Amino acid sequence: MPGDSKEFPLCRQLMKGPSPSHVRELSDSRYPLAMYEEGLATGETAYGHGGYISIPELPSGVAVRNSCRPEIIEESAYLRILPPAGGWLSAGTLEKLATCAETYGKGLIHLTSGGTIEIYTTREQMVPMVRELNTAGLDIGSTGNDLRCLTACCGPARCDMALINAPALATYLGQRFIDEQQYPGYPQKVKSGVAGCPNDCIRAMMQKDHSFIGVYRDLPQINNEVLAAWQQAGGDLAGLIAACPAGALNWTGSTLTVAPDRCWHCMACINFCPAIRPGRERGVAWVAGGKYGHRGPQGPMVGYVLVPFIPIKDDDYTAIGDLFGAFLELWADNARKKERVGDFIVRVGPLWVLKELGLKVEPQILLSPKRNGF
Amino acid sequence: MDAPDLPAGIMPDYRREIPAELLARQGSWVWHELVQPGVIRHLAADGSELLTVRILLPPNGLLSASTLRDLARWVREYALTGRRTSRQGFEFVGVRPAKLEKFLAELQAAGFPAGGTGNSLHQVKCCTSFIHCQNAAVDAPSIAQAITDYFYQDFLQQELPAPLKISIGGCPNQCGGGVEADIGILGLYDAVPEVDEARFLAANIDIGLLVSWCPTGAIRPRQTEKGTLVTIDVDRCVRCTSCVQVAPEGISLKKKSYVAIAAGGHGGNSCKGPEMAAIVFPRVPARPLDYSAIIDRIEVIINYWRRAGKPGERLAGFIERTGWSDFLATIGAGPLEELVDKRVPQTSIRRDLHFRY
Repeated sequence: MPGDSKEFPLCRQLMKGPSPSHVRELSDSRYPLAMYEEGLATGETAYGHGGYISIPELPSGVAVRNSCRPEIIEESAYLRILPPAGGWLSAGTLEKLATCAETYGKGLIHLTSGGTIEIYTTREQMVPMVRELNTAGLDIGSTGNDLRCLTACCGPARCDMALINAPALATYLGQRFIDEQQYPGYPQKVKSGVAGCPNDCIRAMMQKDHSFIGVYRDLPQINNEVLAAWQQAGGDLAGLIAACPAGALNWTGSTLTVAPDRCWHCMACINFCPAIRPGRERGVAWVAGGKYGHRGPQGPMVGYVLVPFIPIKDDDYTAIGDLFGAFLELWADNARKKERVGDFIVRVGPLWVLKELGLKVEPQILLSPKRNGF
Repeated sequence: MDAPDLPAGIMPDYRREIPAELLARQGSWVWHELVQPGVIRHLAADGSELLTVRILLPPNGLLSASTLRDLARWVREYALTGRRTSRQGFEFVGVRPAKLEKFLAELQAAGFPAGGTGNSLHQVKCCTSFIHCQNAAVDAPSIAQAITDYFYQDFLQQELPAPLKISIGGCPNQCGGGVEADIGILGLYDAVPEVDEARFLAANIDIGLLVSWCPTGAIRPRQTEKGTLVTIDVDRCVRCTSCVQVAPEGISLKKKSYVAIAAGGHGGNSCKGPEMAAIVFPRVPARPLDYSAIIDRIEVIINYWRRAGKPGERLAGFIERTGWSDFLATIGAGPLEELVDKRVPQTSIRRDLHFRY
């Protein structure tokens, strides 16, 4: 424990501030703190090149970090767990994770920025830990060149903006493509996200190779009674009208209207005022090619909207699953080794992708027509 | 269809994480308001409400088993269920209104205060770096810790013009998402990768993949008597480390590193649409644990926006209104020649004369 001794001066420094400290969590576990201290002291990581490993009986989700300081720790292995969509974690699941981490791991769990859950452990403890996780209804996956875990926003269980049931769609896709999540067979990793509305709180369009974003096609619905009450309570009408990026809101002096030909179907007015609710004609936009990483010819990029609107009726996600599977197959058959979806679409052209999938170009997806005659 | 030859895995269903009484109310919420920093109230059409308490977690979402048990105990005692947010924070959903004050006090005492909602600084998202990763150029969690400590009051109050999100990625992989946030911090390498000829030849490396993965064509095969080697063009190399990923045995770099600070990223579609943050300070030293150079520059950006931003105006919208030239000059960004795209000059140099002096 760094608090008890003169050891680990840099780690101790990170425990001093007012905010929750990761070093406090590390020191409460069996994580080898000397590795972190070593990294901080030398200014470079004490871990060496690691990788995905193969453990008999286990699918993907199994990896190891090699150590550059074998005198501290030989190597550090970890398991990546497929989480419930939407980030939902009940008390029972939290306790189960704590028990697994304590019994078989280093007593530490990691809520990764990509949406999975990782537990640091050893190779020997992996099979018993996965058995225990399986009995709790959890499984591992999402490492290597496979379909990475499907993330979603919290969805209509909590959010008033959700246009589609994002966690339900992510769960459907995750169950249908569970083998692809657990057995790497692709040229490169492919990450997926489902966001309930264009606010895209989970940054799916930027972070994920493949995302479905809830959208609405008709106009925002304005309730003038609620609007009057909102104004009475101090609502800023001028601010609301100014907030519309398209200038589509008009105030006649008594009623508020949306100009149908101007509305962008974004969420600006809906986020601003409780009197305006999203339209009722709902579906998803298909966006492909987003990535954060600085690899490949394109570097980081926001995905391309390839289909502006796929209707969803009665929570039937079959058509979306079919499209998802068809695209992944097309990409897997034609991509170069280690080519992310975004780089692939840039290379072959979005038009080719749409043609191969039997989809038509909709005018909505054009930012502008091309400016050359070729 | 053939019978599946792989053991079927388990994709957990999110519905079992949510109690039936909350699941039954799915889709009934029509509005939400921020009661106080860290506390969100969702309202249904029938007037009933749902309280959510959002807390700060330690950087990088690292939790010990005992903290995890604390979270579970708090869920059982005060709320219906919990969820991890996409920014590595945690929310208690369905908090019982009568117990709210007691709950907030208990969270405060335990060192996990409620905050990071609305017009505040939200949880700083970051990657794992030196804690458990071989690629890291800089240590993102300790930078996140330093930022969180320094701007701590901004988490606990909602006094900024709009929400502020900061993300940190420790290397060009950007797992932490440095390019997506209002203010992004990107760990980058200074050194050009070096080829260790003996180890390279011994490792039997996929030369085709190595050459094709280099985005700038900086790496070229070279036939020698001993076998195929590669040379790296120093001028073309952008230090993306793709070659090190392919050939960790034969190509390595001196871990000399720095961070770039980017501004103006945002995710939603309600303004111009999702946009990556743009680099404003291309080269800032980041030696652990002296991060004053990073914090000073972030503070300059935040203070300018705090001073001149309109209510509700995200950093991206603020920069769009003031114009990049004014924004860069005011925050003292630079050196400017390093902010121009090296490879595709059409993208970042103006082709109109709409100057603002």
